Amino acid sequence: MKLPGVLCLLLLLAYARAEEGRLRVSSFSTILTEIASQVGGEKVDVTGHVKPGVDPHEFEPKPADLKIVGSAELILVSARHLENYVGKLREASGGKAALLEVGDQLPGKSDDPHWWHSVRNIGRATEIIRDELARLRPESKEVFAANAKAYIARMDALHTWVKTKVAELPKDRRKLVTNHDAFGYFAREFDFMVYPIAGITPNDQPGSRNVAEIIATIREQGVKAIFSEDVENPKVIQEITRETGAKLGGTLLSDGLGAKPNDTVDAMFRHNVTTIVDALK
Amino acid sequence: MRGSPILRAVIVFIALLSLAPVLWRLTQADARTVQPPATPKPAKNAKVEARLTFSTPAKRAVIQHLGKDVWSKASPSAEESFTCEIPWPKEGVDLHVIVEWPEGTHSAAMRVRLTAPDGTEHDRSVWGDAAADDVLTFK
Repeated sequence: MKLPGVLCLLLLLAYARAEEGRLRVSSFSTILTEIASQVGGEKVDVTGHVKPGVDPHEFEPKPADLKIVGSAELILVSARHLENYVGKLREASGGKAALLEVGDQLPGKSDDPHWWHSVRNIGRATEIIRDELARLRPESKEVFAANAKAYIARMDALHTWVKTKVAELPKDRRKLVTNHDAFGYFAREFDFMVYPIAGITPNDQPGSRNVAEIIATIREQGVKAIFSEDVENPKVIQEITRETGAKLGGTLLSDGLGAKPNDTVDAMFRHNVTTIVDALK
Repeated sequence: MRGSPILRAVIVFIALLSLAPVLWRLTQADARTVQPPATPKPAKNAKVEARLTFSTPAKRAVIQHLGKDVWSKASPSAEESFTCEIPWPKEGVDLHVIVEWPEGTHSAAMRVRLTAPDGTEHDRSVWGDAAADDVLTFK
């Protein structure tokens, strides 16, 4: 075999060896996919099964997803009852992979699964994932710690930006009418009142009584704008805007990262907060 | 029905014409129910007294309310005070505070004490090394 051929073979072997050592992660949340990729860097191989813009309430893993789960070492789920298919994942993995239910390790006992609408929770989730990656690959512990520190610093800067942007909105105008009840964590952090038309999942269809109550509230409170969501049917929202005269404030990313260019945590927050503040000002 | 077809047509036309005002009122009633939301009455501007205390001499300090400067000063004294007129709704107010200290400063603070329009006292602080950029909530 000539020299170029030998070199190619050596390169292929080195690549295969590097791939072999990477920790295989299966993520069922767009948020957790970003965190695991940022913290793990080149030491992990993350498969994001739920793609940006896909409704995680409706997602069901396909056989191809379960096959990948079968060879994963770590499975990441949002938890707090968002993924009703956790049993299928356990079965597909056959107990070989660690299952990390991130939301269940965050402070608070709320059943609301939309914990990622608090930047602080994203920081806490980063620490939880950093610790789990370090447990599974102790030899890369320092790399994970450094990557997590850099990512958390970016989240701290994002939190400051969110606070500053929200401060442009008078506190008596912080009234958020949305399709489903996804912004509770954000609302608690920044003193918003949330008036959801449906329940915590988009499957909780709004009753006519609930819609009538929302219409009365919008009129009584003088809510200037209401918001639809990227994964929802905006029909009810449009009806309410017609009935009340409130304007459609824009589309919010409620159930995870959106399609490009809102496919990062930073972009998701900037999009949502700018949309809310500018419409309610 | 007897009579000429023209007479019958005229009778039907008159009957429809008499219904017109009723139909017009019914269709207009829907339009009248759609009212724009009541414009929220913004809280009135009220006099707020502020007293600032710096633990370390600052290079610059700015205080903003709803994205606009209400006070700013380069090289402020250790104690500063000012009065501003801002709306103070029952939900409270947020002040965006930006302070810059000389490079190498560690654990410096600025204390903000406000007397609200109703006379209540509020006290918050920001901490930082070379700088602090934070939102303080008073309610």
